[in-house]
Amino acid sequence: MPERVLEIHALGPLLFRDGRPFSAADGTETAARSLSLPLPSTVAGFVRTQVGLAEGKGFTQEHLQNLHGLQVCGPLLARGGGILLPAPRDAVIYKQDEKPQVMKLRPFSPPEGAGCDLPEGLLPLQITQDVKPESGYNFWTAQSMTDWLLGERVIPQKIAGLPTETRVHVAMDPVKGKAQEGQLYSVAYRPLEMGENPQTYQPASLRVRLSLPNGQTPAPIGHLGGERRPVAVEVKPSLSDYWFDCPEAIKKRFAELGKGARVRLVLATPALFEHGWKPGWIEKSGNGELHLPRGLCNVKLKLVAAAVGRREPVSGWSLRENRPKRVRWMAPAGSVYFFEVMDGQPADLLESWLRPISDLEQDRKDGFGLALWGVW
Amino acid sequence: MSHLLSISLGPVQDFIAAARRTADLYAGSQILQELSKHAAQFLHNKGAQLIFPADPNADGANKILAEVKDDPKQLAVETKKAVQERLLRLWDETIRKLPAEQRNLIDQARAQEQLGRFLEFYAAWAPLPKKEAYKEARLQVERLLAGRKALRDFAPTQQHDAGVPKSPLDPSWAAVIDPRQWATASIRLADGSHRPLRIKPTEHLDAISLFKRCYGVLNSDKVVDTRTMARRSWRPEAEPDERYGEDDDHIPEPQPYLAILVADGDRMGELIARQDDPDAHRGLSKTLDDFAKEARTIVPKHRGFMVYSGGDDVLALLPVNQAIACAKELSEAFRHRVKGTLSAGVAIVHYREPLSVSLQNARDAEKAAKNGGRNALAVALHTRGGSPVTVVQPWNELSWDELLEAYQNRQITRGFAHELRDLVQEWQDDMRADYLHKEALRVLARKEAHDLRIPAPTSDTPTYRKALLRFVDQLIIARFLSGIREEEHAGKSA
Repeated sequence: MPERVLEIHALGPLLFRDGRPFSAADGTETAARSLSLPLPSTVAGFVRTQVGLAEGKGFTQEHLQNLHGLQVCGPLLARGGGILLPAPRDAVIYKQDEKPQVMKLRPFSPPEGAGCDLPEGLLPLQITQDVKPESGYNFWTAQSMTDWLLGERVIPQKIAGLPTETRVHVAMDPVKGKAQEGQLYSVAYRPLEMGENPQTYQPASLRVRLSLPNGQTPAPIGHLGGERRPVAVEVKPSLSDYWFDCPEAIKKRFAELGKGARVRLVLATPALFEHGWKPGWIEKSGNGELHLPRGLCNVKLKLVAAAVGRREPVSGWSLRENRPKRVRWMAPAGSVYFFEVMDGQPADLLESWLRPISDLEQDRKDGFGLALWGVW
Repeated sequence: MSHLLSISLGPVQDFIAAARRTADLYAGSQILQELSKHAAQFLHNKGAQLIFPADPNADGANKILAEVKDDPKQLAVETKKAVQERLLRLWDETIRKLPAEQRNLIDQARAQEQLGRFLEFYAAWAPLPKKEAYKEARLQVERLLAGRKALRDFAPTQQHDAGVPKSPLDPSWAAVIDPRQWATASIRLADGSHRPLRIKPTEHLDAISLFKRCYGVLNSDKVVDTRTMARRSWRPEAEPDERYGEDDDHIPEPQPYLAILVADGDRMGELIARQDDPDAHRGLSKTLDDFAKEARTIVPKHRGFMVYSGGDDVLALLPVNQAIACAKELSEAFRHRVKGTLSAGVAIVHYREPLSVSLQNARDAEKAAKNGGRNALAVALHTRGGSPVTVVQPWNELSWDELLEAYQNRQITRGFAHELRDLVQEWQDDMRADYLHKEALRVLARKEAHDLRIPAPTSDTPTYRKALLRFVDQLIIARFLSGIREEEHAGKSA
């Protein structure tokens, strides 16, 4: 099946629910907040719906099962022509003499007598400057990310991401058709556009990559995220112009690496791991075991250090069972893992470039944990 | 050999902000304080010499720095265990005050899972060979701690919650109660009386939120809710008690806004880095604690409610018409005691707005003060609808009093700000700035506040128009800050 890139355009501001129940009723949270990007599973579900609609065979149990098995890699944010990636957590942007500077966090062994309470066997990251991190550097261009993964000095552009647009609504009395007293609620939408201010906004979009069964085109219009907000779906004519393929420079660098090499994994989407923050496949890597994420069955890795943000919850509503799903905790996008290659060809790791490396297969199909690889 | 041991407890901001009622907010910050204090006391009892806080009984600070003689790694492990146990004990002590039939409705297994996973604890240590090496050792240990905190490790959660609604306050947790069974639940106070928890039928609380709710209600004699705070701008003597049973009513407040103040010291890291030895640092800790204590007397003086005051941090609710005066007094106290400067943010918010959102507004205002060059006060107005308006001014250039007075004496009304804005917006950039000033003065001349100062032009017209629009923003905010009750023709407000 040929792989294609789908581009999702918003036809209005979108809402990416954060898992909090929300309604206009008294006593609940009357403000809906939006995540900065939709969760991979939200987008995967949306894309599968569009594919199912285009097939036009209805959503029987069998069809649902097939659709559920469709792997969707994404979402990645795109602006203009280029892909934007979540800022890696081993970079600290700060200001010195009004100019942005970057502190590169790298694992180090504390001197004799000093230490910290990290999980056994892990090194802390070295702080070399006492600075306050600058906010607003939330997304990096593909070029900055490439340089960063190669270990070069990078001063990224300041890209905050999608703006928030809070709208206040009034609950309506369905019988009388008038506003209900005191029942205001607000929704923080995310318009798919970016810029310094409304005058300079340019459109943004979400991209995913998948194999379309039988070369089909998904239904062009649908609803993404909370509050049934409309979006349009476009199938892109070529793959590599619209995706972030592994850059040649990284391929070249990895080809030169061997045993003992130091490699870095950066998460482009949040990941779900067996051990919470820590991938379960680390211990199984390199032993040839099947069912591991791509590339990892041939390369044995040892975790040296990690920069992982606070856990983020994912739950949602199971339409099949018509009840809330269980809550799970994700390692946030932008988390960085520092490895040492114990055995195997590091270049094999690039098989999972922007492919999901979560532990469970269904989570991988949903797009959790797209990987970027670099060196340190 | 001695070591410096640095400990950081969390979560802080997210944990405190997960609150629907003021009592939840208060409970969150109290519980966190209680746990930090317990950690400090535990270390103190183990023979550690505390540096920050210097006094084991000081309130506040989710951060601890101490000089220790024993193995620091072992001490860190023991302290973590002690804090964790303290949390469970606090939960038990609080929940025990619920009637048994209510207590039995809690999913205890899930509650234990949540309480066991909620606390964040990070520690780092570095050798301190001699007192003279303090500066370097402190820098080393703080950098190590920051490097350690780059990894916020967590284990996967097992809440067995398929089919269970998630908490409206923190979606990481599933409900441990079915709120429909809790409509009439109450908790026993120390004097034997009962007070209702007022859990709404849609409040699917998790263990931590339920803990906060119970803890907050047990301490509700100390808490002033947002509605009472809004009321205090026109009735300073208003007390929460008067409105018992009013919770569900829809009586509109004549003046429904209150102020949330967030403040903290500027460049505290640099100040701490200048301390040459543990004793000097202890002195600073004590000074900060003195400021925190003084802040706790300043806020109530302005009829406000102190949610949190520890170290250089202040979080308080205030009547709108007291907010500026209170912020100024806090800034003065800080300057006087700590010999440093304070940045403060005041958000003017509607009392019915979700507290977590309002709190974020206040934090954003404080950030605006920091970004505006520090040593400043930012005031942000968040009406229900319309975009927020923020004005940042350094403390020594504040120009609120005059405007507040003009509103309070009814010399100007809200129409003035809008007239002025229309004028500035119609004025073209190629027209003269001094004429615009004259025209603005002519508009003012029709009001009673003739002597109000309208900023004069200093350069070209585009710059002046921007300055005047800022003045208009300030006028709009000042009307809310003046705390005057809604004029007639309500509904046309800015």
